[in-house]
Amino acid sequence: MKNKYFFFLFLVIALAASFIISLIFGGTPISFNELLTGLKSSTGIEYAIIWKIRIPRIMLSIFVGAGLAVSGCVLQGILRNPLAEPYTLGISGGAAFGVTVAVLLGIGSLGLPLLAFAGGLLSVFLVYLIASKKYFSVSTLILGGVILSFLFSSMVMLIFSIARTDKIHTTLLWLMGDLSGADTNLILICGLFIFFGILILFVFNREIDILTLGEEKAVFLGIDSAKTLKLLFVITSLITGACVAVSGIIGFVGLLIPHFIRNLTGPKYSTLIINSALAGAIFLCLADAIARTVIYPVELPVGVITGIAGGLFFIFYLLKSKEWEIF
Amino acid sequence: MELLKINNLSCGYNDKKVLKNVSFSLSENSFLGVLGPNGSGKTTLLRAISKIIKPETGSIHFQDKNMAEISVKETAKSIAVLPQILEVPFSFTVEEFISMGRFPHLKRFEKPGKKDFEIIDKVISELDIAALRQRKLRSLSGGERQRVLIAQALAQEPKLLLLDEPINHLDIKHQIEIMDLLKDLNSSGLALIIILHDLNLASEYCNDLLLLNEGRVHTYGKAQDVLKYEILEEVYKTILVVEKNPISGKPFIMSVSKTAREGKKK
Repeated sequence: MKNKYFFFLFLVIALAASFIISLIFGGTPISFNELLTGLKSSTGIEYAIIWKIRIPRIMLSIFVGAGLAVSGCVLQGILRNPLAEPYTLGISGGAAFGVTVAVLLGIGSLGLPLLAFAGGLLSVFLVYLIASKKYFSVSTLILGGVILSFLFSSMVMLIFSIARTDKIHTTLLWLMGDLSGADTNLILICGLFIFFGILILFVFNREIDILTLGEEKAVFLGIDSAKTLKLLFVITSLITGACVAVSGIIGFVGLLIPHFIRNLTGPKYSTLIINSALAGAIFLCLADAIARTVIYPVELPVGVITGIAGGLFFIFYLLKSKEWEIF
Repeated sequence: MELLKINNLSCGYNDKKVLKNVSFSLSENSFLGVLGPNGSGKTTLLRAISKIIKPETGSIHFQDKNMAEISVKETAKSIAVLPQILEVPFSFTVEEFISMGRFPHLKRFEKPGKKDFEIIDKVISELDIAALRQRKLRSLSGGERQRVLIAQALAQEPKLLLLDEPINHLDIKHQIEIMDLLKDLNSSGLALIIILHDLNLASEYCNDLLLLNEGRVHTYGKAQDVLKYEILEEVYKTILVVEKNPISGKPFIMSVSKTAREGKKK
């Protein structure tokens, strides 16, 4: 019990540290003194870099990292599938389709995230309809998600095959995950969305624990499984949709952060949700700092960093740890 | 008072009707064994009582209340169910797993309190699994696991416990241990409905037997009235010999192999 509080505290401190690291490194490096002047002042170059560019972007990486990690950890639980991630139920295909359409039509700044969000939700809505038409259950959801993902990806490929190359490049960058483009107000809205989404999921932590035993056993323990599944499905979809709209498709965070945390502090969702949120935020915050600095002045898509850094880290972790449970 | 009263129940899945006009009732400390060939509707009966499937016609009353009008959460306070198969994909500890049994008694924002911990402790000592408390559920042996599943069900403080073939994969020692345990629970006031394939264990332990055949109640009564060779041979469509257990005096069923049957004819 004490260890759990200690770990939570450790994550909070690590998040603060990542925030500062990401503030100093990334793009033009600034010294610690410049950082302090920038934070205090209300004009000048330091002020602009810190308050207008870096802090919003760091906040975005924290929101998205937390959102994806929590969405993934809850979906793994309710779908009873350790390979589930935020995009399992078809949201990424729909969002990619929305973005491709936006780029093709030349819709700019605000239109792109909106169409991505709309595309993601359209896809999720169709999955929901398909599942409801049959008996609403885990297997119909997964099946619907896979089908819709495939359908939308194929439509994206269709557009790619007939569109101009420069438009394809914009979409491709988005598909690899990109935290650079978002507008400050949009970041705030998306942050609120993700925060309240995570809060609602946390309120349902006991239900999620029990749903991992299967829909039928959950009914035996007093949970209206179909109703609860629907609600959790909608909330995780909204969180993922918000993340995708402002940052593209960032892989890995939602799949492996929950595994890592589950392995460290156990499968109970009361701790798992909070710790995953913190760890996801730390991970994406640091990954984005790397993406900004590693081949400065060119920026890498953050999804590439999460994939490479995360993959290497987990191979190392897998080989080092004595008892590794995928589940 | 009647604990459970099933009246003219018919239900099934989509177009396929599995149970047809099933009626019976259960008193407060019954130990009812449900028997019948594969596909005769035993599990469907349990699923109907536990609100997984709705009755198409007929009704189920629990303590004189129509179960269609009781919420799932309210039901779980008085009826607990041990399913035939339970796969747990994540590595909960035994204690975490048993605590889930308290869910129906907790309000949305209510944390488990002193009373809940007392009940969990009591159940753990009753089932003699204190040593397993911090173990991972998936590291347990078949017999240990079954005890832990029963402990979770008892943490619900049920008045009725439904079990679907709870001793299927256990060796005979562990089978007897679980059945003895269930008998003790029954003596201390818990009503049980248990699906069994082993006719001899059913004969030995259950107070009443319900024999299902093709979705209908074939016979309902005491062991000596249900476990007769005429009845069993008609339902199971195989040759059986019924004798008496020399110690308990209960019916004992013996099967006869094909070679033995043919040898006898000659």
